[in-house]
Amino acid sequence: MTELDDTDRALVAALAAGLPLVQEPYAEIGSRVGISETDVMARLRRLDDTGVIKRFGLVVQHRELGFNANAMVVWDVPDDLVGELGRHLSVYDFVTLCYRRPRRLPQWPFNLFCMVHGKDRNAVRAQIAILNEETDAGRYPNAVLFSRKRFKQCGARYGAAKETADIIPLDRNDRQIINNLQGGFPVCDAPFAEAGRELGLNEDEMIRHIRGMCDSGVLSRFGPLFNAERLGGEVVLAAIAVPADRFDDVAEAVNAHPEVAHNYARDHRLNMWFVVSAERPGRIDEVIAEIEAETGLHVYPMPKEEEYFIGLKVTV
Amino acid sequence: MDLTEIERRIVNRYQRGFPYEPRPFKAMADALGLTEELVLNTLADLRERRILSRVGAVIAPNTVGASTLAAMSVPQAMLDQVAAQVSAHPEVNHNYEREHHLNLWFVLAADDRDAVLEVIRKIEAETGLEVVELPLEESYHIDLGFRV
Repeated sequence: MTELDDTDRALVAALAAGLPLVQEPYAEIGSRVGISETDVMARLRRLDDTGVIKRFGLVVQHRELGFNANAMVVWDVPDDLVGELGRHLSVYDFVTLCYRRPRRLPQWPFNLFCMVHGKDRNAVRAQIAILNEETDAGRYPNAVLFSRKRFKQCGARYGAAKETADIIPLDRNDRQIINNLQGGFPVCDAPFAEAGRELGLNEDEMIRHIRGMCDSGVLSRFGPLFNAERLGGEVVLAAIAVPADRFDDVAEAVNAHPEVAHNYARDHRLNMWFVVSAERPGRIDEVIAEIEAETGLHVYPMPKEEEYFIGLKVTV
Repeated sequence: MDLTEIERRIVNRYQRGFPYEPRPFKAMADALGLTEELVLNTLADLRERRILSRVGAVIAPNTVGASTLAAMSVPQAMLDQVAAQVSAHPEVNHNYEREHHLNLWFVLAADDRDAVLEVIRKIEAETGLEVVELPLEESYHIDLGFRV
């Protein structure tokens, strides 16, 4: 197996969320890891050549591309024949993964696994039939496990401590920018140059850091925070008591409304809390009525009576 | 979801073999007869539509750290709750309901084999359910991505 050093591991961890979509992404990743652009590219080439990187490129969400039927097909193949059959099945282009895994009797008697993705179940069933007819696979006991609900899908996170697996490293300049700019951004012709002057950064550096933080998700957005009420709109906090077994479905129904901006689970009998905002007076009541009709649950609106403080800032 | 002709070309050509060059998006643009700006904007748009999850590396199993496939048999009434308990572990990266007596299937990855087994032990303790663990023994397939 290829020996990886700590820098390789840090590089893989820094890439977990993908390359930033900027002109020079390897330079940007290098600055996060503390190595040069040339070193980043050399290390990636080596990891690619040695098979640590299976592929490098666009990673797509197959369901969003219409590949809605996803079957795990498994067979129980004699141990001395499984390798040959696995290599044979891998030749078919609709087989997206093919592995040997252990049997766990009595719960699990199968040892050969294939993933088959297709646009619909009939298409996938036809593809599985091809595998069973054109190879020896059809001789062996098998099962087809279609996926139903997707609870989670993201890239694997390696090389970072568990507690910090989702934490993106910030450098000193990132921190300064976050700490300084939450209170306001200059309104002038060259605002990035102006804001950078105080921090000792030039315009390009400012833009590169801010764009990097937007790409990595540290900044969920960069821009003005409007006071909806002064714009003539309305904002209301609302809560629902949702039975635990319906929580995900109700959350989905609530989130489907474009007027809902935040939605959190909280530890209370009223366990779902969200913010509804609308431009037109009366629209909020309509949205709440729609949510009640869709979910069959009572929505408790909690309009603001008096505002004491607003101006959330975090110091990093 | 429908893709434009340009999106389709980018997705089909660059799920593997992404350029290791200082300006990779320009190299893509040159190869496809587009501009760097258009490539970057197209990728940003695909990401916004959640079609693109990232531009990056798919790491071979058990090279950097360790990973495994695991399955549980969960009573249907508890499925959402147990799935949420499983997904809450940052080491879990895929988690699906499947049509089988073993109805919850997930993949988890951690720094080493011991860390993987530790997460499984925690999931068993949290849920009170047995986890069937199926580590990779041999891979036959080279992942080429999806043709769209």
